Amino acid sequence: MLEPSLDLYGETFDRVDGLLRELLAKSRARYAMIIDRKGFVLVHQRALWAPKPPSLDSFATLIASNYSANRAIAQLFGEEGFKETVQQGAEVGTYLEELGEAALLVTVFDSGAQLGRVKMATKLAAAEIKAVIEAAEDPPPVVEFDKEWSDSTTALLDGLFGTRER
Amino acid sequence: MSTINFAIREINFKIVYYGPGLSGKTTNLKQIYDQVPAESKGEMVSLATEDERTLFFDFLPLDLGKVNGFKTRFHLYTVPGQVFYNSSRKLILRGVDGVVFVADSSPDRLRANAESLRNLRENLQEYNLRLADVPTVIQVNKRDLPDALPMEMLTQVLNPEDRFQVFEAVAAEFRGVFEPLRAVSTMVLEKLAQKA
Repeated sequence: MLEPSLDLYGETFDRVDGLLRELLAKSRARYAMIIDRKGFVLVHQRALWAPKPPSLDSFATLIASNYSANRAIAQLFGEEGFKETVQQGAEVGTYLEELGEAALLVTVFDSGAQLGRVKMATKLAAAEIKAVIEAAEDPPPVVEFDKEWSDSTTALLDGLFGTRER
Repeated sequence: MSTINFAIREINFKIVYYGPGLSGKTTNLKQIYDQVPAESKGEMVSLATEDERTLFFDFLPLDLGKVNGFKTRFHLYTVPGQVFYNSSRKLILRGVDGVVFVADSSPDRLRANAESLRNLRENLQEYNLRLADVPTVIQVNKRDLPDALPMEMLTQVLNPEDRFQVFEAVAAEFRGVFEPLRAVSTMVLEKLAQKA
């Protein structure tokens, strides 16, 4: 495995999901999510009162790319990375914490939340999430990606790409 | 490497469109976006300069559907082709599952094609990957140019050992756009199936 991957499933997933809900309650943020460093969403939570979020795929991709770019900038100056990644607009901001080598915890907040509170709650949640993941003992479920699966998926590819040429 | 999310039962793959500047990588993504039905695609994101040259990347998520209860998704990216954006290209290759190399048929771009392919090899090495390890196809774009380089010349330079599937295309007219994507996607899926 060349890229670290964070497997969240079963009880570990439920506990992490609960920690994200707690994070939202403590920080009064809109959304909290864990994304891997390639930009895929692993788990996300939305405050009950929060408006519908933008496309999570786009958001996660941009956050992961932005994180990578910032890290590359830091490395130009001999730093491993920047310690804090905060972005604040007139109404909405994001705060990011690393979850080990594999993933990122992102909190999206608005002017109704205090940045200090968001930072504190996110840092605490990140520490707890890391502890939960490290303590997870169950191996990831075995999924059979056999030839039958490959054939079925290829049939879907045909459906999407195979018949629509001009 | 593909990302498998067991909790929400999703498999995600990352396909990167690579190639020299102005070879048509963004055009490919725009055409795919235009042709794929709404229920199978997400928003397309483009980080471009004011003159519409790719600055960081273009991004398009595609939903293939469910197999064995797992939703299969492809995230398509382009890299900025201009030589001086190499740092960005390296970042985008992180976690790549498959590559569509978009070559330019213009007569003055033979060297740029070769240099871009060499640059792809070098950047993959940053992730301890060899080009041979990553499912890759070549799309030779702009075949409608009156003075287009002969295919023999391009394949001799880009594919001398006949390792890659090669597709001729006129991406701006949606010719040869789906074929390389379908081919590389199939290779990516087969690779995962072989590992299982």
